[in-house]
Amino acid sequence: MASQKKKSFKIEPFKHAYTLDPGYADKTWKILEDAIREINGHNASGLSFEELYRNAYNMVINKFGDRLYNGLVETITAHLRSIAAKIEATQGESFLRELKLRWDLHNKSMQMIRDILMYMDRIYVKHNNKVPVRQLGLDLWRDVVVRNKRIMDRLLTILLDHIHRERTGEIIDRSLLRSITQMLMDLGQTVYCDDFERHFLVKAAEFYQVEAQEYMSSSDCPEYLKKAEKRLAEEIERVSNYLDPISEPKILNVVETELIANQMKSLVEMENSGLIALLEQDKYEDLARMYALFKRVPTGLELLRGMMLEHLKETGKGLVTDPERAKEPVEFVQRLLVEKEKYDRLINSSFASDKTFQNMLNSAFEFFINLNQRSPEYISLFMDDKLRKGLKDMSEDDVEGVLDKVMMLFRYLQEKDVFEKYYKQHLAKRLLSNRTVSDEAERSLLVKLKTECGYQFTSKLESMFNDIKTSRESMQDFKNRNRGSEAGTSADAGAPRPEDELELTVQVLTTGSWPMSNVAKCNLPRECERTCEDFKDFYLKTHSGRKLSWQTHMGNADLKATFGTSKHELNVSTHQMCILLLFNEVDSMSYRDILGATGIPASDLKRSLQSLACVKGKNVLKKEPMSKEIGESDTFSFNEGFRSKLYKLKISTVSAQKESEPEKQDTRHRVEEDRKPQIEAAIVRIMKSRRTLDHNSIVAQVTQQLSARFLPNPTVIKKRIESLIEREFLERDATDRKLYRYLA
Amino acid sequence: MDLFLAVKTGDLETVRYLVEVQAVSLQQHDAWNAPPLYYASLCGHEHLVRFLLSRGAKCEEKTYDGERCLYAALNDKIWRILIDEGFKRQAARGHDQYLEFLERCFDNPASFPDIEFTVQDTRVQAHRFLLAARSPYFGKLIARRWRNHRSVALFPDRVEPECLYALLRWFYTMRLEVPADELQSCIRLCKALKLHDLEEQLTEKAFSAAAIGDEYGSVVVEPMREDAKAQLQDAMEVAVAACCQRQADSEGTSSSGDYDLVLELGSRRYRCHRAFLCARSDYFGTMLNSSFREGVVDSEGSIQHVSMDDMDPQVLVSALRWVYTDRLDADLPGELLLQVMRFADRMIMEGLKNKCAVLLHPHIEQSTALPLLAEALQMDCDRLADSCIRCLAVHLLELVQEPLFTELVRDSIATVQNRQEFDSVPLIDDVRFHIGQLHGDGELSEDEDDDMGMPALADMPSATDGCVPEGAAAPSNGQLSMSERQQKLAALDQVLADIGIEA
Repeated sequence: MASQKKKSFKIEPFKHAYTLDPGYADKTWKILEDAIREINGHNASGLSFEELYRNAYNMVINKFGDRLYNGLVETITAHLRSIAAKIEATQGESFLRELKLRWDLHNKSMQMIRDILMYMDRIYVKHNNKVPVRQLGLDLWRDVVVRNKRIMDRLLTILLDHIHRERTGEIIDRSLLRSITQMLMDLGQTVYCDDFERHFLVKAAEFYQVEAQEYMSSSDCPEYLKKAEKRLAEEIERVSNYLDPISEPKILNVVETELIANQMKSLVEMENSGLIALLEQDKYEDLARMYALFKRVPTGLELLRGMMLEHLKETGKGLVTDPERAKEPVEFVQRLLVEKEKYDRLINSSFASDKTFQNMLNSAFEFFINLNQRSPEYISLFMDDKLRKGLKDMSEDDVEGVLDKVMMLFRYLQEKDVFEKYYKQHLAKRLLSNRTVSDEAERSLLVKLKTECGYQFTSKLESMFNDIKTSRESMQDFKNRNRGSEAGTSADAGAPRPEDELELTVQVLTTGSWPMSNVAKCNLPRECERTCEDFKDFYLKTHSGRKLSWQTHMGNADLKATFGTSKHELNVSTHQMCILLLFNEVDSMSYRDILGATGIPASDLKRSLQSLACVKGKNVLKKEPMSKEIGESDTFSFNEGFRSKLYKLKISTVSAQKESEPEKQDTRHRVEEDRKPQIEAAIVRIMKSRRTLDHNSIVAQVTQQLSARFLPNPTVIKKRIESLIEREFLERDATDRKLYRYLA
Repeated sequence: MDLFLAVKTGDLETVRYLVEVQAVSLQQHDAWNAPPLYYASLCGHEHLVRFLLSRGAKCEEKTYDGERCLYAALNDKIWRILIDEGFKRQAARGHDQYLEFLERCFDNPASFPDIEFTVQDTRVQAHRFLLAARSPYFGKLIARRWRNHRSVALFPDRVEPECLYALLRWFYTMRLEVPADELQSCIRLCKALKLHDLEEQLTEKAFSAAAIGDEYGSVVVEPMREDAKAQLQDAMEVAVAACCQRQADSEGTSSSGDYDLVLELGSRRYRCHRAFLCARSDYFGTMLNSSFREGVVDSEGSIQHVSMDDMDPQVLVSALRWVYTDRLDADLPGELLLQVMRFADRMIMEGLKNKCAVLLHPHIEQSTALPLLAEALQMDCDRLADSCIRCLAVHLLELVQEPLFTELVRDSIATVQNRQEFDSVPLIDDVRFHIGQLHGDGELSEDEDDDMGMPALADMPSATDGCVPEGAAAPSNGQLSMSERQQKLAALDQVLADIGIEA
């Protein structure tokens, strides 16, 4: 090395200064070892940092790093052994305190040792991939003290005992526990998890298993839930108080499993306090708690939903099949609405508007509303009722609200076409008798139906509205024309029109849009007949190529009648008018005569006569013999002595609001008939695009296509397919009988 | 005249007039909250962009204005200018440990302050020696009126708290920022403290602020970073000179009494300041905050004595100078430089160690490569080690016989724990890498390896005595470097074979 003296500079063999002294390493280490002892003995304030650092530095520089490092490990290990013995020797309660005290002191010492060995830490440890001094201190503490079997077992027992005591309501020293768990965590997450947390979780599971049994036998469901909620909150608090945050999900999982998941089935099924009871008693708060708790465990909500669905179906079924309720359609629908509202509110307030629960509610309603075949009719009747009178005193928003709710129910209907049938009938009645309360409400309902079911569904309904509107306009024209001709003709014809010229209002309805069959026209009185002819001429002049036929059974008339001294104005149906006008000529007529003279169909005639003769206070005709029923041999006469306090009287035809059984059958039949072409159209549409398809797929697709309107019966579909094959729209595949082909 | 209009139209003369004569601020924003540079960039006035940047317009990375200017750049050329002049300049001056360290010292209770100023409720902590070094006027006050006061209360009717704070901060950072409405009282304060330069600059600012009617916001005086650093360093030179003064000389002078740490080296005393030594050296930081004798503060303001007996005074002075000023004499002889580096390593002053390593680079040559390499490896100084290995690779044939080389190879082998057959030796790998770099990177084919390798080895003895033989260069250049490369690789293999390892 001396030979390399060249021009620039010589590098002193700086680091080999001490190697000459063979005892150097031993001597230096002795100094440091003593110092470490002093530090461990907490007697370090007299030591010189400068001196110790210099010695450690020199040892590293002179390649005695191994000696230094190994010496350090030995010294500290020996020291910790004695500490461990001291900790072991502590009795009872002070064990934890002693452990914590020793741990704090150890940390302090290690900090000082680290300070003087800083150079070794930076150079020797790094070059030789050793464990840094700080970590070394932790590792040795872990291995020598904490994992010392006698200490570990005792530590664990005491920790778990403390936690158990706190669970049972005792006050414990949380800050002490906190520092102990913190120590375990400082030693590494694995120490905390393996040596403490694992046992902690097992103990917790045992504890809560027992507790769950106790609670189950002593409390009812809401109370149990309250307790479980409290326990969960306690565990969260415990973690934040003196455990590591990583434990939180694990311990919560234990509590959830033991207190909720394992018990939830028995909980919801509890007599008098389970889910059903809570639902029936509107215990929103308890239900909210149940939801929140069950949500924590995997199948909790599923269980809740399933149970609720069953319950809803059950109560709903009771509701719709109860014959008592079915008598009152409005009441029936109102009841459904109340039920729906109740569960909506429940889901919103207690179940956090959970979508899955909303779906469950929908499927339940869909299930039981369609259990009753008359639901479509009732819903339509409910709307009819609301639109006739129910909406009078309500604001626009309220009206919208009611309509929206009914639309909810409508959505559940499978047989929407049946509903359409009834709705059309009821709408027609409302429009013709001018009974609808709010045009706006009618319109808005129509719009709702349109958005729900499409244009097709409401086109006829809309055309009904249009008919009414155009009729009003053409009536205006008709009246103007009459007045005009009066002025124009009075001069040359010189025949003034009679004073008692009757005023005619005609509503021209498009055939097909309105739900009515062609009924034979009755014989109108002459006065009427003339005016009708007038209108017919007027109308056909402006609308050539159309045919007018009179629907006399739908009309009504105002008559002025004189009964002896009292005069009255009677509001009657067209049929009744025809009957009454007969008595202008004669005072008494037999049933047969009336039938012959008016030509009114027998059933209608009977009803008309019934309301004219048999209703008390409105009996403008007398009947022989006096009875409630109209017989074929009865005789009717003008009731001279009729008296009433009212000047205006309305004599309404007795008419059933609800359909009678045969009528219902009739409607059903018509619905079935209407469905046939729709099903056929759907089949053809599908086959046109698919060319070949097997039977089951056709059925599935047809059902899907038509589900917005009704649920077609598979056997009906099969019949339609057969009919289409007959008419050579389709053919069966030659090889596979289940396969159909489309014939262009 | 409107600066923004001139910038938009590209009127350099007007802009120059406004900026240089009227001292219009370039940091102002128009109604759309955009700075002038933004419009110059947007409208594509390259000359204006350069001009504005040269006059201190800011275009800094990750600032709203900076990114906005860059985004607005009309063409790539302007974009490039903004990146080069704006972002990079900022990056260059962005991070300076010395300046950051000084800034941290200010008003920081952890940095051993020894004087506290109070105005009303505002308390500011500072260091006597630093104030004295920065301002002769303060020096006088500290030496006389405030000599024995740790806390100095100032009268609020004479000093605004904010001004005092800003001004004291300026002593540490060269950056003064005061609210515009405090500007006048700050100027008065500068006058009172006889800070004439600063007073002048502030007056100018006040003038221009009044000219543009900018009465809100804050006024900033900030020289370019290099200038600021140089000024602070110059001031600290005074302080470090005071530290190293002999006891006898310093007795009468003003500021040298304000030390709190004495380094003893034989009969010499270096009167230093914990504030600086602790922050610049982990050794002192740890020592003075530890629970050992040195770290125990028995009474308020006691002066700690630390023995530095095994040091060279020259080394200590150089290191102290670095601690205070961040400067190291570039002309130090190599031996001293190395000693300073060893000292820095021992005292854990990373900055000084790196600086030494940089300065040592020119000293690497055939004779010093190996010992320096040993030092660099010992001190964990990778860049120096790499340069040494490179030099070693050049002179390998001469140095391979040195016992120190074998020793270093042995050390390197020892660093690989649980050595396996297939493990290589890091040092040998590095040398081989550099040989590859020196003599062309191309991998040899097996044939060449055999053909060229064996004869080269035979030649070796004659090549070891100093330089590459002249004659060897004759055949062809490529041939030569091939054979030299072969020789070196073979020599390395020989060393390993001697040690008894295959790698």
